[in-house]
Amino acid sequence: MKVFGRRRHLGLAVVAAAMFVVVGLLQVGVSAATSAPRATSINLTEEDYFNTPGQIAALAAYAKKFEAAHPGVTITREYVPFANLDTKLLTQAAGQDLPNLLAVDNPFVSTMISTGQVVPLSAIKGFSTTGYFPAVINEGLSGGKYYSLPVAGFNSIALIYNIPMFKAANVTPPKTWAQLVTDAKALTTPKHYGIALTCEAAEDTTWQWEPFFWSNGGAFTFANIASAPGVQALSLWQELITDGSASKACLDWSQTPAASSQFEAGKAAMMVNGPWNFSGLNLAHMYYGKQFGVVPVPVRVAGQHVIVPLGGEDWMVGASGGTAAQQLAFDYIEGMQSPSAELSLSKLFGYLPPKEAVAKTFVQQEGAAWSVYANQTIYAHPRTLGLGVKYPKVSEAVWTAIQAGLSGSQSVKSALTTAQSQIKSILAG
Amino acid sequence: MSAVTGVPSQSVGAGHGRGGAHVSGVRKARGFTLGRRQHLAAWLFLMPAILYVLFAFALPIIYNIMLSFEQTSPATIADITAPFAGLANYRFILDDPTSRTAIIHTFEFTFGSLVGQFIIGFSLALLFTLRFPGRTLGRSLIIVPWLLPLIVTGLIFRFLFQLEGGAVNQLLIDVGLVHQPIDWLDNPHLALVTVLIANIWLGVPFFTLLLYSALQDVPVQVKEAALIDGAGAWQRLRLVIVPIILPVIEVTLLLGFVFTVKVFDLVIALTGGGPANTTQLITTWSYNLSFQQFSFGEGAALNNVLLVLAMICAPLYLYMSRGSLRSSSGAEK
Repeated sequence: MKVFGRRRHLGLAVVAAAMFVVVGLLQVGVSAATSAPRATSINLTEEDYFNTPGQIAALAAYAKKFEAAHPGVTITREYVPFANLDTKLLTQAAGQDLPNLLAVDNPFVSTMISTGQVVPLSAIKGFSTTGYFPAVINEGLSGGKYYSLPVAGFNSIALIYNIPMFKAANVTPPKTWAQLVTDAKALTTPKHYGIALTCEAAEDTTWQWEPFFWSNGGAFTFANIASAPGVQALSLWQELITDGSASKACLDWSQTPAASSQFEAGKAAMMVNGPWNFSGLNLAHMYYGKQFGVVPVPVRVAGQHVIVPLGGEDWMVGASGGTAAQQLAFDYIEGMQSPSAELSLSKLFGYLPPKEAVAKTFVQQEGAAWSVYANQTIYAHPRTLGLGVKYPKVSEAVWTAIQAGLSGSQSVKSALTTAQSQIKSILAG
Repeated sequence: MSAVTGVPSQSVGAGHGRGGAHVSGVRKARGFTLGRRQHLAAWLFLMPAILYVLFAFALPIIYNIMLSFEQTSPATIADITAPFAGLANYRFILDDPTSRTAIIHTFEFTFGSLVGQFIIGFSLALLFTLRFPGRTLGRSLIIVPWLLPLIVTGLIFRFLFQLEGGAVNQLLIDVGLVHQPIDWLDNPHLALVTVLIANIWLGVPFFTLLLYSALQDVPVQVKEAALIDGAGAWQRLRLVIVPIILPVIEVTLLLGFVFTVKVFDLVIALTGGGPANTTQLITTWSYNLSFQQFSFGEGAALNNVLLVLAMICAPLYLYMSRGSLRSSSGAEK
């Protein structure tokens, strides 16, 4: 104790405190210096969750082309895993520091608009909605303004079936729910199930159930989920499980890769899934027309239209950059909307082009495997339309009811009644 | 002789301005009482720590409490504050069936984990006090569950317990205990038990290690004395060993409580809170409310329930560990 005099004591403390302050100031200084934009060049930041080799290559090639055409402009892409992107974007919106370009999963578009941190694209010169499937372009429509444009088109789901198994069981692809039940039973053997369902506690479960519910007269807002359309649709899934035609393990299965790998491994004869699985199916030596076929999701009674949810991502432009950056970001997006760009992007992404005419050309080029997905688009529905920021909450109430009904924690009817009262209060709130 | 007198410096009286007066006997008697400049120095030394504590602990907690009284949505996210919501978020927590079951499940889960971890951990600790071949190896292996990241453990247990091709079902069927595979993760009445089994497995090393080292500290003389007095094995354990290591048991249980009450990754990896929210705990459900449904206010309100639990536990821990700290520092002297 006595080694340090009282004065030195004080001196040391002052030095320590001063260093603390200096280090802090230095850090502020460094970050200010690095974030200051250089007048001669503009860097556009971009965030997305694309991770397949085709998607990465497509985006890299496009960015390179764009940089070559715009001297002084650089594109910095940041990959964020799917599970983290929404949260990260919200955090950045909170700090008013969104990237210039953000590729947002379409159910999240309304939420991003509500933060007030994204720019309406329809206010920028050169914006046009001509030629798009209305359901696709309307994903970014809010208060009469359009806030988004598709990244690489869109996708939806249909019934993918195993042709050799169907031949062995001597059944034809089901068109109605009754046929689905009998087919699935006939297709179930000790080696494989009739169908692989997706019922995990996540958005893809609601998305999988939507064609069954909506096509059967269910409201897009799910406000009537406990009435006949909902009870019938969930009872169908329950029947498939109690029949033993579908595994109860679906309560842990995601759509891709869990359910899709069951199908690829020959452990299920059918699955409801999207065209992004084609490359994976080919890797498993399953090819369209030989090993697998695609038909629309069956309807309860013949004559009902199949209404599928629309999937895909949309470009949005963050408001944090200046007008020059915003204009450049828009140019970047706009460049992807030309027919030739759409065709190559959709192919690499495993999506359908967002414009009707381009989609037609695409199906002609890529083959019949895509035609079911393309044809059902006229009845397709963007999930957030009419629900907006309430969709994530509603969707959670729906998948919880599906899980409750199928796991047996509640009866189908009471699970859906619980969900309906929750949804009513969400819609009212 | 306690270190800090707690006597305010004013009461020391005159003469604490000059530096050279150290020799006077009066000053010596004042012990560690600080002068004004020394006070300043002390505060300056404390400043970084105080700022850190304010920034890293107080700020998030205060912000969380503020959030829980606000009507939040993604639309308010760019603003520092959102419209005042009164008790609406807390009322939601009380009315929301999932929040209620999440709170109840958190208690059940914590209680079940502690009982399981303590019984198995204490048994293993007692086992390792015996001399048998492979004892050292066993003692090292017991730490393995602790070394694995929680998310890895969750995934391992998911593969073990899954309905299609899970090892546990395969084993049970091969042994002939069951004929149909059990839906460990998909049965709403069983899923929480499965998570509980995984968590007990995870927590056993902690209990084993702490209790084992406590058992090592039990004086041999006392044990021998009990033996000579004719106490049986059970009597020696109940009447001699347990009372001696009781402070350690208390602290271990309390720390186990704190570890268990905030379990998160394990549930996310194993069940994701499903099926139908039957395995939602306070942590997972508040995360869900905040970051899946973007109801930050409701998530914060539920989180504060956890905060209250922690605030009950912290002083309790200090109180309990005070006893064991005192006895150990006493032993050193």
